[in-house]
Amino acid sequence: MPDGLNRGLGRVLVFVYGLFAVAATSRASVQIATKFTEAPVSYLLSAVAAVIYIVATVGLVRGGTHGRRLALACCSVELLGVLAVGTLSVLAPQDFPDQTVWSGFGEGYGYLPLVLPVLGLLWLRRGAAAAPAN
Amino acid sequence: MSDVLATVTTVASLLLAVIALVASARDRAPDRVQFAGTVVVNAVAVLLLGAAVVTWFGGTGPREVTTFVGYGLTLALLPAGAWIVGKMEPTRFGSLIIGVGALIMPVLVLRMGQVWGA
Repeated sequence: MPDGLNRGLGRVLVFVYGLFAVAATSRASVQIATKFTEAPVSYLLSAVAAVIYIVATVGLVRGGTHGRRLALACCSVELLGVLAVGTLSVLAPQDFPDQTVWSGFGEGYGYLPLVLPVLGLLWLRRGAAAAPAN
Repeated sequence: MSDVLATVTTVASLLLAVIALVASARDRAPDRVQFAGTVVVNAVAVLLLGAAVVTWFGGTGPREVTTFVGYGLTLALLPAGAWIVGKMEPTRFGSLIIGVGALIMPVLVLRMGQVWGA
C-alpha cells in the first residue's frame, strides 16, 4: 500500500486482528451451532464482534482511503463495544450468562480486545497525519 | 494429551517469545535464530498434536471435540503464519509479530489441556 497502513506496527495489527477474526469467528460458530438457546445475547454479540474483527482486518490490509475509513469505523465500534459490554458484564452479570470476547473488558483474552482498538485508532491517526489528505 | 510434549511446546514458545520480544525492544529485525525458533516450535506443536491424535484413536479423546480441533489447527498454523508475516516485515515489528505469536502458543496448549479428557 502506498500509504503504509499495513507496514510496521500496522503489520503487527493486521496479524493480531487476523488472529482475533479467526478466534472470534470459530468461537461464535461453535457457540451458535451447539448451544444457541443457552445464552443467545452473548453468542450473537460474539458473532458481531467476529464480523467487526474480520472487517477491521480487511480495512487494515487494504489501506488507502477506503481501507482506512473501514478500519476507523471498526476500531471505533470495537472500542465502544468492549467498553459497553465490559461495563454491563460487570454491573449486570446476569444478562451475560456466558462469556463473550468483550466480557469484563476482554479479560478472557488478556485484555487485548480493549488494547487493540486503542492501538488501532492511534495507528490510524498517526498514519492519517503522515498520508496525503486524500 | 502428552504432558511432556505440552510442557516442551510451552517452554519452547516462551523462550522464542523472550528472544523475539527482546529483539523487538532492541530495534532488531527477526534473525535466523527467530525463524529457526518458529520452525522448532511448529515441529514440537505438530508432535504434540500427532501424539494427541494417537491417544484419541486409543480411546481417550477431547471432551469438546470441535473446540479441541479448532485450537489444534490454530496451534499447527500459528508459528508458520508468524514466520510468513515476520518475513514480510524485516523491522523490529517483525520480531514483535513473532514474539506475540509465540506468546499465544502456551495459551492454546493450556486451553487444549482443559478441553481434553473424559
